[in-house]
Amino acid sequence: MHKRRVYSLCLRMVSNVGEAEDLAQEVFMQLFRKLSTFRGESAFSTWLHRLAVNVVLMHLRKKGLNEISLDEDFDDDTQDLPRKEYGAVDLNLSGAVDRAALEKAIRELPKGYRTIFVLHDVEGYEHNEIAALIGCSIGNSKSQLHKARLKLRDSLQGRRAKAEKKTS
Amino acid sequence: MNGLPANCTEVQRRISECLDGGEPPDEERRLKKHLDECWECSRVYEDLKSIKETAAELDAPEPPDTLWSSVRLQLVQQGLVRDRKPTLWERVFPRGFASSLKPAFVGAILALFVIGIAYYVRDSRKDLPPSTESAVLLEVQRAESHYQKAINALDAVSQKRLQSLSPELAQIFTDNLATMDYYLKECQDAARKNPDNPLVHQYLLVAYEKKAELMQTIVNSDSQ
Repeated sequence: MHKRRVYSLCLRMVSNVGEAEDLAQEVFMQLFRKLSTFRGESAFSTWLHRLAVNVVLMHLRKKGLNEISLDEDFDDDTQDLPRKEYGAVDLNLSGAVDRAALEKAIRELPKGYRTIFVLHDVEGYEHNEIAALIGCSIGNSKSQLHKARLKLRDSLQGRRAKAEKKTS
Repeated sequence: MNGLPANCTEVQRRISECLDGGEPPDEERRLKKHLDECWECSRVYEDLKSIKETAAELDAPEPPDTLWSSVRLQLVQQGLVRDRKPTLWERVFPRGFASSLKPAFVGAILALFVIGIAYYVRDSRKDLPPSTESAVLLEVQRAESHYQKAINALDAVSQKRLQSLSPELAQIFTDNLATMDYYLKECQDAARKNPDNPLVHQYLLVAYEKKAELMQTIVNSDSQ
């Protein structure tokens, strides 16, 4: 139960099986060391999950999380709008997002986008929690999430277009 | 720019906020009205909504089997546990320790406990002589029966006590009882699969003991 959730968080945030295993190990090592600091004020799973997020974020910081800066402002007009290709096939995704394709598209997201998308949409953190964890503003977290979703949409549409080309 | 009418540009920037319920009600109504009328924007909205909903339902992948053996190795290497299986639990569960703890903490300790059960115990059978082994098993079975009786006796009283506690405290106790039941079941399954392994039965005993202690804690709790 806990091991699976911790490992899956690590894997989704780093997109690398070996790294994810190392991080999950580190989480459980820290769990062992820090168990005495658990006060019972929150559910154990919440506490452990927060510990795991912190371990992963620390790791990403060391590796340079800000390949996409989390401090970028909203001036870039094109990044937070969907791309529009006139004459393109209609590739509406509605109601038909394939889980495996989405997993792959998440893996291919730039680290900064991926971190916020995974924390918000997969793990269920709120923007204020993400802002506190990552050390950015709430507005920034919202903007990054929106851009991440648009990137995923592009990526999924691209996959679908390729698949349709193959079949036709 | 994106080639969209100014209004669409503004709406599409705010679609995620609208999806996440971050817009004020008036603004949300205005956005929804636009979405009803604009096919292009509603398509983006529906796509992002599908992505958000699918992401929330993604399955958690199973970790590799080597994960726990690596954790254990590191614990041993760092001197946090000695390389003798029961010692981990002796350290985590010193005598009389859990009775003074908050209930959620006991649940936390049991989480570690199950990690041990599921992943280390299987291969950790001690080479006891057959006679010693059966004597240990007999003792363990007696103790199991003792704890089962104690738990049965405490069950009705603790349930009644829970009803008189504050909802928050009762919820914490209920959650931790559920966690313990889950771990107890894991231990029982492990014992069923390894009936001759005294170590598995010892861990099962610890699970019974912790559950009985938690129930006793509930019974002794103040209703304030």
